Amino acid sequence: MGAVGRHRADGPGRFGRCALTWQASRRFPRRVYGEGAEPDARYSLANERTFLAWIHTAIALVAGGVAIEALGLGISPAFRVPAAIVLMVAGILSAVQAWLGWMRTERALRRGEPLPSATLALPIGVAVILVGALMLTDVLIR
Amino acid sequence: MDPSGGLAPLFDEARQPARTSLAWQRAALAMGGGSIGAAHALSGILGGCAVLPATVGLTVSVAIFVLAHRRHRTAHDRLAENPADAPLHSGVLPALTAGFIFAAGAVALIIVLVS
Repeated sequence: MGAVGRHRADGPGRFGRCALTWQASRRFPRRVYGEGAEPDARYSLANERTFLAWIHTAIALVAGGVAIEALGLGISPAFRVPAAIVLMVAGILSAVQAWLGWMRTERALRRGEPLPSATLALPIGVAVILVGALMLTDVLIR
Repeated sequence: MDPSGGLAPLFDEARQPARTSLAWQRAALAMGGGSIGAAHALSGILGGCAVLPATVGLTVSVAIFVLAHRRHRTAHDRLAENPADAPLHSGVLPALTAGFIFAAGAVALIIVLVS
């Protein structure tokens, strides 16, 4: 039981390769687990926590968009609706970044390659700044 | 006789599996709370139908909470047995979580655009 999935530093050997192939074919997604070797578990767990941080961000952004639109908060509709839409779109993009980032990072860890950057971090940050600018403009205009 | 007194050996002094498990719990709680809050906030638009997204959101968040706990136990047991190269878990739970948040955001966006 303990030999399944284990590999040695100098190569898995025939039995190890068969075991790894079996493991890879059963783990989703195959494009991540179908290549490379098992990384240090601490790195995988850290990657998972990064994924969850993006999920928390997505939840906060979507909830913020819903709150702005549903609660009104005395914001002019000309600013409230675009701000709500931008926040929700940013939340959706954060969920996409969470998954893509987790997948790419896990694959890079298995291949021993440099870790990828967060591709969608810039547009999400710009979206949040835009919403702040909209809110500030509404406050200044009143 | 087991010198550890029957306890599982500590895999990582930084307790990364436990920290990851707590992060999953926070995510599940945030999803559950967010579902209820969003349903309450959108009740003015959806009326009685707001109960549906709240129910779905709560159900999914509870399922993720339970699955994350099992994920942690599985990872802990595998790492305690073989800290070197134990294969952990798959990407099913992350995919489901990201997919749920994506769907929830898309539904909320559609509701706001239509209303």
